Amino acid sequence: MNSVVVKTLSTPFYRANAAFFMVAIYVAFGLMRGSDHIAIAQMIAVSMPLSAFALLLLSAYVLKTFLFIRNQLIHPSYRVIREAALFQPKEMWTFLAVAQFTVNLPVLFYALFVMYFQAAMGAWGNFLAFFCFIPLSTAAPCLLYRNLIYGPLPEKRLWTGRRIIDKKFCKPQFTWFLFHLADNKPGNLFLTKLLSFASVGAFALFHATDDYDWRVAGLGALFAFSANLPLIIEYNEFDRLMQVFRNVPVKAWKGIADVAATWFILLIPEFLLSWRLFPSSLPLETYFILMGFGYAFCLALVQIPLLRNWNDKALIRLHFFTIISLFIYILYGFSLLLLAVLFAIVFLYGRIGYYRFIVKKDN
Amino acid sequence: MLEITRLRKTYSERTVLDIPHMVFEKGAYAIKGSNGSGKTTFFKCICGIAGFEGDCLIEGVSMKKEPVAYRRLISLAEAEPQFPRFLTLNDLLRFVGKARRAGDLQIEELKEAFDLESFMTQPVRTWSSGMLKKAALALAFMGNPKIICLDEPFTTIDRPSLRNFIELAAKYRRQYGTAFLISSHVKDAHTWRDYDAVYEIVNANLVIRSGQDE
Repeated sequence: MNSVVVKTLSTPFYRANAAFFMVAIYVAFGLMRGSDHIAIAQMIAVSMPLSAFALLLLSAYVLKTFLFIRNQLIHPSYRVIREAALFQPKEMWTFLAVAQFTVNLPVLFYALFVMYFQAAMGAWGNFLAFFCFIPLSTAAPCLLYRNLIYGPLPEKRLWTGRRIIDKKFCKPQFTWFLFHLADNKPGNLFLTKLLSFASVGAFALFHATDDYDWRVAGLGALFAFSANLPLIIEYNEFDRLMQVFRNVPVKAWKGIADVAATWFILLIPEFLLSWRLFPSSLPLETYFILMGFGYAFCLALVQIPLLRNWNDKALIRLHFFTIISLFIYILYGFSLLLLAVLFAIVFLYGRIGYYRFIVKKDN
Repeated sequence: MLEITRLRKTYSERTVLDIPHMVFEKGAYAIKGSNGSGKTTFFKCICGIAGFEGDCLIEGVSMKKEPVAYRRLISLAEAEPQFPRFLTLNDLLRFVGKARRAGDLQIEELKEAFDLESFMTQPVRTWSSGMLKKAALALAFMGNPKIICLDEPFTTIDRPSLRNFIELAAKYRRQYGTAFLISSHVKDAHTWRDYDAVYEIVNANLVIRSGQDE
């Protein structure tokens, strides 16, 4: 049974957060020395506020694991896992505990590591708090999972405003992806825009202290628009869902206009924030070139999977190398306008190809 | 056998099901209804997957008061089944078999009836839609459910499996007194003739249409 738990609940968690763990391992075992870890653990061990903060961080991780497993359990594909409710109580608890324990392993190890120093330094109050955290971090989520697999599945309810929109309006095609995001990946949208805003803000700070040429702003635009990669990948997925409409007789220009409008709306926050923070030392035309470059860059990346049948890994590699190449390109100070035009051509060429079948039918 | 009392299910403001009282005795029952009438929701409610107001009892066991004991007595094969993509059929059969206390003999019987042997070690992601359907049907028969709900069971699967499935269902009815609730749009008179009654979902309520499927 444990192999089923690990396959369905634990492994997907580590797989879904592989990038996070790689960065964490790199920081913990690459950048930091063993003595740094010991010093930090000793500081946490003796200080109550630091111990509380560390527990808060560990609890945030446990919350993340809980939300992940909860989402797995309510997903239609995982409905069969609800059969675990029919096990003998002892087996059911083991099943749930194994799932939670295996995803909790990193924080449990760290808690034990800190507890060692707490015990060695006689910080027994802090030791007790960590000692209670270990069983609680497994038992509390398991209790909640139990309710989830015993009772009916929670239902997804649309917010009132959305229900009114559904009732009163026929949604134009360029808004479909926006509704798709709002319904299914609001967290992605929020995180993307947060990172994007942080990039724009961080690069604007450079200009607050000194005057630079357009390349710093260019790098800021590159980072800000690259932060939209999760949305681009989501759009590729959405395009796959929309394959069913590919044979609908829509003119190519209409399809192109719809995609362009969707991405224009999605990038409005970047356009506005960049306008607000744009350094006064740079000419205004640079703003339009940077925004045009960012917009065309996103449209081209949206289009690339349709030009060739990339698999997911190859696509991520392509994104990575594209961004690194652009980084170098900007540092050399080559024309962004040229690049924007090139990206626009890639987008138009790819989209016309996408609708070619339909255009022929129209003719 | 299955007693439904004051079952009410709403989505947003729309009432999908409103069944004041209904009793299904041992036998086979067809649940008909137009698209969107609530057949799948009805199955999800009585199988404890979707929440609703009211209660269901199987042989006196209440879904709300004894959810685990209740769920052991009922099973569902969905119209479009989905499973975790990386599990194999072997994983699924062992897992559900353990939960529903199915013996090795029964697992072997189901493997043979649905011709599953060649797929035992294949992960779900490599299966065809017919394979998914056969796996869902096999899982629904596992253990000793008193009621088996089958949502569109006659679609997708091949003829030999369909024939075996009907023979198996007949055997379960005869030997174990299992009741079957079946929703289907397929003209299945040639495959399944002996419904004890045909019900239709009309205006959110279950209405009896006939004692024998026409």
